[in-house]
Amino acid sequence: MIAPSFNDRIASIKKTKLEFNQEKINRNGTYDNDDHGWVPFSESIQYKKVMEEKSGLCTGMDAVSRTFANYLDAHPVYIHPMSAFAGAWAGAADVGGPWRPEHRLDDVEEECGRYNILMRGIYAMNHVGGDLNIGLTLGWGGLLKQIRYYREFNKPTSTEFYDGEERVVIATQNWIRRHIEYARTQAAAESNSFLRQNMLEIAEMNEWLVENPPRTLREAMQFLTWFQSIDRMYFTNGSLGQLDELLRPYYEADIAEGRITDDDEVVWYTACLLFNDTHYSQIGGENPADGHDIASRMSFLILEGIHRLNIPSNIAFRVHDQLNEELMDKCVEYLFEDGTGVCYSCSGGLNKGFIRSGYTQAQARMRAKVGCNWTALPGIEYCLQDVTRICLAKPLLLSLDDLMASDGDKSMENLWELYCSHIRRCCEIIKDGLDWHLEYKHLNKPEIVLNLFAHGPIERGVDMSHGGVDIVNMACDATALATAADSFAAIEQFVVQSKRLSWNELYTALQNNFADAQEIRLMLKSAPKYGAGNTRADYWAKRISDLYSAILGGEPTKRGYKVLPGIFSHGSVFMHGKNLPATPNGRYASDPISHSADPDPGFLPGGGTAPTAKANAVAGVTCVSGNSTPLQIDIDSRLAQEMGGREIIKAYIKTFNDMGGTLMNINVVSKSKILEAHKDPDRYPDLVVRVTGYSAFFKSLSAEYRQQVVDRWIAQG
Amino acid sequence: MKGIITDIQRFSVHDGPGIRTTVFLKGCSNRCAWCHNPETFTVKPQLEFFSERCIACGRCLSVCQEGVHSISDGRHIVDLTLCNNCGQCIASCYVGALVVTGQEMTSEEVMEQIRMDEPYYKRSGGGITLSGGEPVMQWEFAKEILLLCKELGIHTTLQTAGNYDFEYLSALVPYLDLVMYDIKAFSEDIYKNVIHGDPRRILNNLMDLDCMGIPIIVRTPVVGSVNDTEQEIEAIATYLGDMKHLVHYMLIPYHGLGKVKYDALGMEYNNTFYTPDKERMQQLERIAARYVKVYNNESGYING
Repeated sequence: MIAPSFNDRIASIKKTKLEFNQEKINRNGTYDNDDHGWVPFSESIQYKKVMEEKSGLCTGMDAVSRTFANYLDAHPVYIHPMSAFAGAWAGAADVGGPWRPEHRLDDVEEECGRYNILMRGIYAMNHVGGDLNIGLTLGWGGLLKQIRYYREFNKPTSTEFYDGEERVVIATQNWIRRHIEYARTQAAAESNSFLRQNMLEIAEMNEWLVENPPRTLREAMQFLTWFQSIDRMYFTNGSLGQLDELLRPYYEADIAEGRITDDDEVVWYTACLLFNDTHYSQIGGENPADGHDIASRMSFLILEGIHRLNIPSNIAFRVHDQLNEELMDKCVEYLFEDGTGVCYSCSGGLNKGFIRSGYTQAQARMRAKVGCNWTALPGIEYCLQDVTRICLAKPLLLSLDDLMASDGDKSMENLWELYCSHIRRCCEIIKDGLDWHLEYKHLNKPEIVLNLFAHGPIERGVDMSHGGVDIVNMACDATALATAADSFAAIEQFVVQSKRLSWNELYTALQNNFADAQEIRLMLKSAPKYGAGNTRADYWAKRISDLYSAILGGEPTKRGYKVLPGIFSHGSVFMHGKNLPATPNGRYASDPISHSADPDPGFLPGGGTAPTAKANAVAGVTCVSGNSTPLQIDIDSRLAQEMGGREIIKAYIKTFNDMGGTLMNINVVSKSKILEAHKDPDRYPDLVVRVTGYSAFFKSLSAEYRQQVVDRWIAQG
Repeated sequence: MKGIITDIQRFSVHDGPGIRTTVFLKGCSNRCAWCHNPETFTVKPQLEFFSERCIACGRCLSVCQEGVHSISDGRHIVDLTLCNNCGQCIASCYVGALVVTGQEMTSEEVMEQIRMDEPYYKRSGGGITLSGGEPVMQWEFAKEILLLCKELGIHTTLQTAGNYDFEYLSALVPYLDLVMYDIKAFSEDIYKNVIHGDPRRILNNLMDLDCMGIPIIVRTPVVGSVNDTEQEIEAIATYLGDMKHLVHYMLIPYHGLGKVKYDALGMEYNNTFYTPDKERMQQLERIAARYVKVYNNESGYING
């Protein structure tokens, strides 16, 4: 029997992916988060939760590791017949929470509500990049030996930490063994010679891998598949690292020794890895020593896998001064062809910021884009990112309350002074919460998976979140920048300068959510917007961003942890707007807030938008810290059809990097297609869009989330 | 110096190489019947009324001294013939139903807008484009902007239709890197009946410009029922065959998107033109390609 072509195999797993997506929607409705790679198994997983004795909760290394092992033991096996790899995950295990009562910090919740702080980081999942080289070098058997060696070497009073880590590795090995049995059973029953051979190869490969480190590219990628499955199962974490460099040595060895003779085979491997999960990783980037680009043939093959499979995936191309032109050209070519693809992580702003935060240039170059909006030093940095938000609009409303209640002069200066004090308090709340989180996290939900892939935790016998690694960076993202900046500008123009409105009229209109005050609302909305360039709203946006950056990033937490400021709302503009009252930019109560640091749609005079103006605006307010301030941009697909269009987009991305941008998320789609898909998502089941830092099937998004993308298009006219 | 600007469009990618900012100067010396930018006909600012945006709040009635605005049966009626362009009603309209087309700006103000995207010009090989209407109608203002751009090393392009005395154009050439020259027809009848321009002057100006050694892209908007014939395109292409500095020739299909603008200006819209289909455009491009290098936006050079 003739083996199916590699493209046919990729088409087969894509078909399955679309079927899974439909099944997920059927079961749970639309979902607005990262697609992930979880498989909708027909049966739920029955496993025993082990509780910590004193609290009766599933917390702490012993209970958590036992529970996770139970979960893995009960987890079903899965091998797609056309895949190169075994394994899939069914969803995150219910483990490691809620935190013990004595470790909860609930007394500030009311104040958080007052400030519209909906995410303060406490109890949240890690946002850390592991160093997969550790696993690839040692293999599961080697990881086990390492745990046992250091347990013996350190002779800790309590062996709970090492016992727990040992439990995780053994459970993983057992799960792999069950896949081996399954593959052999499937092979025995399979009449198709290719499918039988594929199952046998998977079985043999994993018989080696269950104890030994990978020798070939296929084995290395199978190892990554196991890692990203348990990584997601435990904490929904999703970082692989500098993927091309991780895999390059295996690819080169396979080529040199003749094991791989057709690069399409590598493309198939990549597609299978992406089918397994949407873990974040980076291709291209800087050599830490000299800044030269590190792209290799492997980078191109990963990109080819993204393109041919064309499902949601989260891989970034690193933009920097010495980037690989050919690889970037290919990225943009596929962006035009597929409408999506990689996102563009920019060293211009990220490196400058990380260095300003006290790190070396070499460290900045090593910090890979391994999360939705964030970067991390793989395996040597513990961080918490993308789970902590400060709303920049609510403090303005509280400042107005204070101003109106005071007998003092009602002026912009006084309003700003009050605003500064509220922002300061928001930052204090966040910082105190992060201190608290780091103090107690390991006692509740230790990093049982990532400890294995970091430099320090096993050697020291200490959890990654509690001294296992030396570099610790917390992060916080601000939201509603345009909402706040446009509000300040509208107050200044109509209340202070032209005096068309009194402070009382403004305040009353806001209190009443503009009921019977449509003219006031429209007047406020007519003020020149942030993003147009050199407007007062641009001035306020910069001033607010600088204030927030200075207060949050200027001082560490009380326990001495750095907090890196960024501006990012994720796609959650509806969630963050829901409890926010009417704002002076003419926004109704409960309407969505502005997206990340993007200007609101239609920000140019006359209601249009321009990609250059938008990029200038975002680059101009970017927090220079090492955290990101992403730009969301949608390009008309007509440009893709034109000569020179690719060069224009390349120049656009590079200029954003030159200006200190940190991350660009691009969609290329036609207005008519996006409107049709919004109206009838079933017509485009395979349309993939980059919502923010993550990509998703457009169909799987809620109507509200789809509307975000549509609004940007309507504004473009 | 001040000029009248219809619009400044950033991230403009069809008006010359790279990423550009296109500055639209108001006023035109032709009156092409198919024109989709009627707001550019006259140099002076004009009030535009977009009825679909109006919420009939009545604020404009209270500020207008000339009686331009009235409300009848809940509908806002605008008599633009009474308007003296004082701008009072525009300032009172928060929904953008009343806007002025044509803003008086100094060259410094225009440069402030241009400079916002300067880094993109350098990265992409782009720059600025002066367009219209007919930008040469405000040649002194255009010259000042071009001079300021050249001082900054910004690439400059002029889009023109050539219907004026050559001395105005020649005054701009020292500050230009590229000219995009529209030849809308060759036959005198078309000029007489539809374009309302002087064909000999337009065609002669092109050749005189060519003698000055500046790169020129010639474009013809192909308008169904006007100039979409083999004879017309062949005549133009033959004429261009003698040029020494022609970069290439482009045929641009007409699109009829101007109705809303005609309505907003209170102008009658008598459009009987149609867009030639792709096959027809390709036929005409092949004919032109017998005489000159022809460039298509989507497929690049179709010859040589």
